[in-house]
Amino acid sequence: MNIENTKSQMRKGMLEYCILLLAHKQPTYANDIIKQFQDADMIVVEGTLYPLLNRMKRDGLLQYEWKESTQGPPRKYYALTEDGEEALKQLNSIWDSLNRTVGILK
Amino acid sequence: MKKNFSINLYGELYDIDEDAYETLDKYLKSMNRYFKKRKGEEEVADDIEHRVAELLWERKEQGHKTVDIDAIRHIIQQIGNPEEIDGERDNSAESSLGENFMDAAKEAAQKAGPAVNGVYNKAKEHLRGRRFYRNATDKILGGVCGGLASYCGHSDPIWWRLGFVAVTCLSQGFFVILYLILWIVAPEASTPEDRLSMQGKDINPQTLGEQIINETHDNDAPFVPRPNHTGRGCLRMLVVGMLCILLFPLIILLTLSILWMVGMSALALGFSTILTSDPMVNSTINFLTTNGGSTWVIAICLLIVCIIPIYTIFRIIRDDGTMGMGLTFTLLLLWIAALTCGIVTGFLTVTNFASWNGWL
Repeated sequence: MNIENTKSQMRKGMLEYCILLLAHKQPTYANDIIKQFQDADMIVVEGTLYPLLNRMKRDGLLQYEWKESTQGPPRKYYALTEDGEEALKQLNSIWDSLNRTVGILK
Repeated sequence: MKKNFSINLYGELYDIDEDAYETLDKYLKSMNRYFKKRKGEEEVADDIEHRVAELLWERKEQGHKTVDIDAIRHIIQQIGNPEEIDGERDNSAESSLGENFMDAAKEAAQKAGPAVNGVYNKAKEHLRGRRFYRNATDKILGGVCGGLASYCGHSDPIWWRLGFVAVTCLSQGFFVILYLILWIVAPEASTPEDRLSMQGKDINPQTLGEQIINETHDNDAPFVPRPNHTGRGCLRMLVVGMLCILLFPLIILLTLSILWMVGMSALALGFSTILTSDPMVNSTINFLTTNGGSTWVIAICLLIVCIIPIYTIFRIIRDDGTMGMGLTFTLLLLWIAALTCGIVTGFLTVTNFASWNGWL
């Protein structure tokens, strides 16, 4: 078993799930996501977020709109699409069941 | 003291140092090139540019008046590797010269047994993703030896240079032609991507960022723009010395061709009447005044054939960078044309002269 590969797979799955969670609460932009992740002790290399958001948009989970900002350049605010909401629901349930399983096994 | 100017990033002005600007520009451009090649990810480069703008804006809010090189290095490091973790990497890098060659070598190696096969695999691993470039940052003439050293994974090209000088002497100059061919054919490593693949490193946003940051460190000492390898100065002196020796006959030939033209002008102006005692001289002068056209052509061709190498040698001695491809080709073509024209006209004139005198 390639432990590094497993770790990065787990992290990658988690990352997508967490982004869906954040975007579900309210439309959010990349810097917000980074800050919230930092607050939640989740270590993310800033740069990895952009390709990920880009792919989730292409997969139809997220959509964005540009908003002018009083603090710096205009920002892309990401929100969930209907597909995204659906995906989040499924991920929520799998997360709950995984959490239970791991809790029992530990 | 550094030159500083303003840039406009999404409507906001920033005062940025020249070196910081160049580094940022290099970074953004290489990100652009990188993501443009990947379908659907073109937008990521734009996201990165927005993020840079945002970080610069935050910095400005904190009261930093200008953007310096350290700030840019910090921003590049902060953004880190803009690639998905474990993102499927399609490393379908263009097959390099070396790889094509290796494919042909593969069968031969497998036939030859395990020992050769081992060497083959090692070489293949080494050449993966590596491309041959002329090394623009470490060169004496065209950077061919520097490039060869990088291609083979040596950090110091001194042995390649000495080797080249040695085989040139042994082969009575044949390797000079090989060098010139490599100089013309091989591209110069001009972008950070080129310099990465010259060293055989993977090209991804992470390595690009690192390479760009490293290059800024190289520039920290502006008076030593090139790495000072063993014997670099000595070798250059040697090359320059050899070129200077070459200069002498060229300059003598040039002087001769100019004297020739002066003489021809004198003849045309009618000074020939002074020298008419010897019948041989007399007949030669008669020939020259009637066949003036072809002798002028020879003189002009000789002039061009001398001036072009002299010009090139002076440029090399002064070390003011390589000539552009266009100029090199034009000069080379002009030189070959002048040489051919001169030889042909010369031959025709000599046979003409012989029959004039009744020798043929």
